[in-house]
Amino acid sequence: MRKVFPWELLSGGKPYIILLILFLLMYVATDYPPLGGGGVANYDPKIYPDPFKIEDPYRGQVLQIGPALDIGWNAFEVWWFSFPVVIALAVLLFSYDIDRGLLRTYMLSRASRTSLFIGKLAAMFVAVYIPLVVSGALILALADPTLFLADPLLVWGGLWLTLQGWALMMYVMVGFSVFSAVALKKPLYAFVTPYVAIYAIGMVRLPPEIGNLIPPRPFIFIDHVTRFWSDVWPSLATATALLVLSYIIFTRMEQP
Amino acid sequence: MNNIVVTENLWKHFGRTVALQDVSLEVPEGSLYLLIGPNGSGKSTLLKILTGVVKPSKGNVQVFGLNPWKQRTKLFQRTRAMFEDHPLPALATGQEFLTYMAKLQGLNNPKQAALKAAQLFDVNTFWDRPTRVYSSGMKRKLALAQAFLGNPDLLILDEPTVTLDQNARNQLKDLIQKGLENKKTFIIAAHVLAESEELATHTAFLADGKIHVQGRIQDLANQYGASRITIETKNHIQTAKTLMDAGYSNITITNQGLELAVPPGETEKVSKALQQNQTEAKITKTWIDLWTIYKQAIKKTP
Repeated sequence: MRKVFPWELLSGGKPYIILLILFLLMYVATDYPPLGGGGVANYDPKIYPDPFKIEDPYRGQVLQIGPALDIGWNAFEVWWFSFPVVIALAVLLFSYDIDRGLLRTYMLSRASRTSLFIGKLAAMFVAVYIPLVVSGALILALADPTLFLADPLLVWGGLWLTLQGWALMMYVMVGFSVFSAVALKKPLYAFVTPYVAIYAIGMVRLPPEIGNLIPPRPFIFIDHVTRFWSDVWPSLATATALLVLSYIIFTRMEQP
Repeated sequence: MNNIVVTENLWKHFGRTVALQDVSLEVPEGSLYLLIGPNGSGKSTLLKILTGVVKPSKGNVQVFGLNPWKQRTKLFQRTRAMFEDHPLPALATGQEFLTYMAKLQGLNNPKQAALKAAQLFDVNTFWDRPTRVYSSGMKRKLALAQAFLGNPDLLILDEPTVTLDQNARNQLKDLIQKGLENKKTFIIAAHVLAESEELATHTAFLADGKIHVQGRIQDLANQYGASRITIETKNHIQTAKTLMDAGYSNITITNQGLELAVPPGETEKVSKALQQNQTEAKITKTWIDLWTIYKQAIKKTP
């Protein structure tokens, strides 16, 4: 495992590319009107509302340095932007057809299939969570409530919950995408299927008791602590079950 | 002699395709076991089963007394392998790849071990470039170098000489020869006979997933009359006449001289016959024509 993990994380620069795209997407993803859909890169002080001209600067105030720092980020957007990136990483790491060379290297060595699976999964989590940690650190470092005239309670009080929700949402993405990459042989199918499946289920008018459990909907309510776990746990449990299933398939799969 | 590899009634199906049918074979320690067969005969599948990459559908396999599918990690403490379609991590350099393989293998000083293996096939002259820019021959040399990492007891090679230049073929032959002297075991699969043929001690011929003939090459040569002598001569006619007078009839004329089919152990007798008639000819090689064995074995198979 300790030999597999660094190679999986560092070899070929794949995770770096994914990480970079994910990080950029997080900055770009916003529906905050004054930013016109742009992120930090599109920052234009001219279109920023002058906080001193707003009657109540704390009401509905959203941090404006960019959506990665924006604790009022929209779970839907982060999900639909990040999900394909996470699936792409899963397919690159787990799809036999894509990573045949590396998999054969392992198969003809003393590395066990279990170490290989855990190493790949660990590399995946690290690559996915690094942007989250970096964003969190930036928020802590830059999101001075006084500077941005945001509600201090919303910044410092909501930060942990926001990051938690974000992390859990990423975990659900990883569970779905790893299963797809392991279970479906063709990389293209493995890439498209989970995205389309979740999108299609979201389009179907299911009863709210069920519909609200399908991601990314459970993650909208991250500021409602009482509903948070009750809404989120079914998708977390499903993601965990899919990871276990992926492990079983991966360790019993032939790699001819 | 201990058998390092034993398979009993081995079957492998890929969906409706039957890749292997009832394959039973034994590979003794210190032997070079040559698996010969046309494309698609099941050679690679058999080797993948022996290395635990593919699971057999039915039957038993033991390599060093281990079940390759269940105990692959233990098996690879003493085994290394190279496959015909050996894919390499495209973005890694040859040096990174070999060093990493040495690490995975748990070798002391992986960098040194990688360099040692690379030097066997002069891979170190180009190994600082990513493997994706290698020619097919360079890739094959790198794959071979990784197979020789750590001086394994059993080496499984699938079509090792394909795309190799003559120099690398000779290097491989020398390494195999040295390995055999040190009681190492080799299993080599090929669809055409190459330099390694000369060193083979045992063979099996596979076609349509079935073994048609197998055993010690010397025994098979005796059984199928496959011993051959190559005679170098400028006077083909006179030499052929001398041999015919000495009672040999199965003579083939080649560019350099003659090829003579003889019963085993006849070399001296042929040599004497040539000397007595003062024929300008000399025996350059005594060998076993494996194709004769295979052809006759297939004819006999119902």
